[in-house]
Amino acid sequence: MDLTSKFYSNILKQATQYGIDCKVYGAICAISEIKNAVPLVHGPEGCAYYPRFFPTDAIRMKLLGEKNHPPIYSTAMTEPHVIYGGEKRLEDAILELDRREKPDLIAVIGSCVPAIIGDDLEEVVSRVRNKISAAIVTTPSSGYDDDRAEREYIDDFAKNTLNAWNGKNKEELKFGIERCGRLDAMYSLVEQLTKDVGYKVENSVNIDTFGRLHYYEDLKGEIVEIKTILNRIGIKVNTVFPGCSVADIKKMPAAELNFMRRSENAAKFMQKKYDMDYLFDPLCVRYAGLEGIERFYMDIATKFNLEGDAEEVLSKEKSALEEKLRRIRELLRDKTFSLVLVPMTISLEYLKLLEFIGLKIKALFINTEWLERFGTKKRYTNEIANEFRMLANKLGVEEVFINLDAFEEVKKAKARAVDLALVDTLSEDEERTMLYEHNGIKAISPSLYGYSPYRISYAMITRLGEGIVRKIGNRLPRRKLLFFEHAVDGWRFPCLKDTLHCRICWEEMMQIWRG
Amino acid sequence: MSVTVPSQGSMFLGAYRMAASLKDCVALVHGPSGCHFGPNFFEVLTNNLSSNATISAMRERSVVYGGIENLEKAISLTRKHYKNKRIIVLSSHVPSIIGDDLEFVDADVYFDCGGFQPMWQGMEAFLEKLGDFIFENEYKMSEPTSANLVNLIGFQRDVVSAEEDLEELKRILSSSKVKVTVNVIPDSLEKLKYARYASLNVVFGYGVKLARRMERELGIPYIVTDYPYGVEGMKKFIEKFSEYYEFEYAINDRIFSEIHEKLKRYRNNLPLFYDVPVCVAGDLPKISGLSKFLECELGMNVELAFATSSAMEKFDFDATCTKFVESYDEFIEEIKDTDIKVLFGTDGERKIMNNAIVFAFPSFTRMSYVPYIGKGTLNLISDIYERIMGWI
Repeated sequence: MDLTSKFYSNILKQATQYGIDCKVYGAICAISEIKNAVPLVHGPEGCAYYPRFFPTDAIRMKLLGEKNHPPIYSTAMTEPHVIYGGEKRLEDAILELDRREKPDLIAVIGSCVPAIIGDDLEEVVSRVRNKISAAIVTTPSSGYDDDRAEREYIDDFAKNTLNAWNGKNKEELKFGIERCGRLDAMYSLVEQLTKDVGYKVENSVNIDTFGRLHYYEDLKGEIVEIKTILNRIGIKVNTVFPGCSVADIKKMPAAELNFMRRSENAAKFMQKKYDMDYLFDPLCVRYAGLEGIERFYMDIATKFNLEGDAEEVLSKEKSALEEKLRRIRELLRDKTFSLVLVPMTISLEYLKLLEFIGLKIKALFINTEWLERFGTKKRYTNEIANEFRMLANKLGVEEVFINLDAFEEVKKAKARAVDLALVDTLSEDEERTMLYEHNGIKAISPSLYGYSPYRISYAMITRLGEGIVRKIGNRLPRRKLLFFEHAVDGWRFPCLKDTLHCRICWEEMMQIWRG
Repeated sequence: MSVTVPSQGSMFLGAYRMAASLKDCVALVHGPSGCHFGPNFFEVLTNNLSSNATISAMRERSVVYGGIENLEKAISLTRKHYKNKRIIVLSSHVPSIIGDDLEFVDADVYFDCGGFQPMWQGMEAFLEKLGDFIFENEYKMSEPTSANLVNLIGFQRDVVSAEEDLEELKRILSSSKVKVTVNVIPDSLEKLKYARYASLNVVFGYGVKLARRMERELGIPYIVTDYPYGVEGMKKFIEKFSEYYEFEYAINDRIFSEIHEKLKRYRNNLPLFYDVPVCVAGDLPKISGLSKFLECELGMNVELAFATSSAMEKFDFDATCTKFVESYDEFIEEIKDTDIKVLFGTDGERKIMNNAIVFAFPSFTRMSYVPYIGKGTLNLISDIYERIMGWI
């Protein structure tokens, strides 16, 4: 059990109940995902103080093997800089940082104050570029200029979820935040560090990965698997971005194809500048579930006319998977399960995948609390929930319940004597799992077993199956958990009733944020 | 030095910490979402029952057209959900620079903390601002001074064990010949109205400006103290206190005899503490008090004392190497060259030594229900012993 991941997930979950981070933190995370890169926050000291205490970025931990953040530097702007401008201060800071720390990359992250007073960060960066050894980029990150807050974003997400289930193709799924701290920083890295390398690596692809807060997922395992399978097909992974070095970013234009999961703008930039084709799937619509994994490899292979090779390799992979699942299916044959999930783009494929592993879902609990918490309108969540109920029924799920409170949900699962409850509510999985077990029902959260339906991985499917078998085989000790000695709200589970007003206030505050 | 790794938050954080400690108030952060996220992160993780702040969530249009509209909406929402609480608007950098005029906003307190001073100055400034509530009563000085009321000013309540330490302090103070009643600032705006009747202000590092003002305008004397860790620390605190209140030494003995008596059971372990090199990091009032205890009473050597934030009073401790460094990475460099066995500090120092004893702000990585001061000295000693055993 990885206690660091457990701790980081836990504290983030608590903090985001009543608050939302700003672009500076997103940018710091993105920069920390580059080897030996240091963020330099141009702004008052306070902006660079807090992130030191926030959890280390998961990609940094898992792909770069770093336990802690990089040092988060600040230009420590004060009144004179506001009055006379902070550009000189920034220039001095860059020169000092380069001389003192010798990083591979300095990333200047502009906060609100320089944005308001009009400091020209790009000009400063271009002025010092030839005076320092480190590579340098700048990214605009004023906290008030954040696409995540756009009303259209959250509504689009809901609409696209419906579209995804209805089999719309990529062109009809218009989605993607481009101006949040993380994506702005990623775009800046691509825009300012890449240049034409003068050659192309034949049959090569760049893989964009994600998961800055996905502590439980096997981020590295997914990349290793993708590289291995692509290699067998005859395709070389040129750069995995981020979670790489500055040199890796610089050589991105050498690839023939980009597979992008986050910033389409970055993909478009490289398409225009380096004539690189790209595949883009921010919602994991095309590449979710078993068929999605196959489609991922086939789409890439098709770009290189290697469909035949891909079919052969994938056939072997699937056979190996079937072989591994055979024993698991046997052990699960007479077992029944319940599942609680937040309906997302991948949910339908997820359900199919569980069935493929051999799970009989006796009761499905659709819960839209998470979506509503972040501002999705009720009419969309109702529509999504009802649509998903219909699709689940078609797949053979016997009973589907919508938006029960947690206590009702557990009662229903208990009444149906399920052997195992699967909990996948995106954020409060541990607490919900505890509630089930407190009531004598074995429960697991697939994500706590390293599985994510958003990941392109055969190995994760096997791991999930093995985890389920193991859990069913384990004894369930009698639990009378202290955690449930306090009055808790069943809908905004596990929010204490004592602080429910804070939580509701925050949810309504999100509406102000969204304008 | 033009580039630093900040060792403390800004003035805004200092004001937020004090404001969020007022139980009958809500702090409303006027600024973009991030200005609230950081302080709220510390607050919620340190006390799961406390999310005592909201946000006006300024966006680009607020910067262009002014943020008052957002603020008014946020005030209305805050009033709706935080019933019977008063609203303190804390203005961050953005509204301060764009010049939002908050004079006519419907809040109970407005405090501009969009300045660029460090955290401790925000604590000082906000506590000074609270003076307005103490002085607003127009018949000031007409009431008799209460002989047994003491204001404890600037006691940091958002740090692990703060309430337990405070209880212990109250218990000890109530042992004086004249039974002392304690009024803690910050606690609530409501209780501030009693502050003027105190006969002494005890300032725990922060709140000196408020104490000076109260001395000037109300004639209430004040003492400034660090945190009185250990037996000697508490004795010295009582000595200072005794200049204003009669304290029987018999009571003094009673307070400490229990500690000495219990310590006998593990007395032979105490030589293990002797000469052990340690480092203490945190705000000045805390590291001053703790360093004195470690050196004077346990015989440990404070090889490095690092003040993450300063204070108006410098106190009288003299660790071998006391640092008021501008940048946290300088501290990291310093500590690399030492042979520290026990590290006392904040959550930040856990990244240097994961079994650090967290005792200063921020302190969300430690759970505790016991005090460290007064009879809590025994808890502190046992925690240190555990760390020493970790090396065996």
